Amino acid sequence: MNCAEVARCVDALASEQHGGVDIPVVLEHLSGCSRCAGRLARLTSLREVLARVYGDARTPSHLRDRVQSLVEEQKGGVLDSREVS
Amino acid sequence: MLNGEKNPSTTVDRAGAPCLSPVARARFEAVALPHLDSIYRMARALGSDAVEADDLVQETYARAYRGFGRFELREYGAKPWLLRILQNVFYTFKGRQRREPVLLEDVDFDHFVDELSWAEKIPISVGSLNWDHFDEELKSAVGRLQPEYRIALLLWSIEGLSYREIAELCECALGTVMSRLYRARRTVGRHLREYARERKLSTARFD
Ligand SMILES: [Zn+2]
Repeated sequence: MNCAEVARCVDALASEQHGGVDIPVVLEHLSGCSRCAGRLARLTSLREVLARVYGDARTPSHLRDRVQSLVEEQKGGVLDSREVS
Repeated sequence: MLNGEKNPSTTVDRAGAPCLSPVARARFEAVALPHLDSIYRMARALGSDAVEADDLVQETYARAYRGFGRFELREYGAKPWLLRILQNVFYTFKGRQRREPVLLEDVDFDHFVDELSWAEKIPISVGSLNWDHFDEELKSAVGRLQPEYRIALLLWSIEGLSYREIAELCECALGTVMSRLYRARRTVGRHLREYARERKLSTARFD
């Protein structure tokens, strides 16, 4: 495997998506290639940083109440028929 | 409810809009409301401010409620369904349709290898670094991404979805997801590199 081929696998590994990845071959490449190993570390790190930066948002109580009442209000009422999804 | 089973007792009101039976409504509450924090977290990341995030969440749940009669609980559960609706609401808010997928051929995997190599040059343990400012810069950089790139990056990082799950949610090819993520990370990286350079967090080693 060359670096470009490994790059595809590294993307999969960084997403914990191991299906279709020949892990022994990729690991062997990573152990001997600092470029690819570094990229995997950077991807993992960026993912963790983003998760940390955004991860602490919790639904404010006013919004939780509004969503709950939205369901209550629509019970049997006339609903908007705009596109659903 | 078994996987693939449709929700019972959906009727139509006089205006032709769907009404859920009490059973289906209770089911909706049980299936959809537990994901409120996840949906809010994504909405907060996608929206430009807290008010827009509130609006995104409310409209997502309104649409979900209206569409619940057609919802089928498949193996991935309700969260991907809600995230997909949120994505569409977000596009609606941005006044645009989803873009045509970028072909994977647009990206050369040889370039992937050196992706984010600048990150190694930032001494992130610098004592003077204000992490609150850094976090805001990062959010600002993400907020400037094209909607498609922003969604892919946030699904990948906040939700921890795999490329395949993102592809299914965004209804695009796996290669398109890889391409969008690559471009998103590259753009964010450039922004942060500028940030670091302006604050002299690093030397000319960027060059
Ligand atoms: Zn390599």
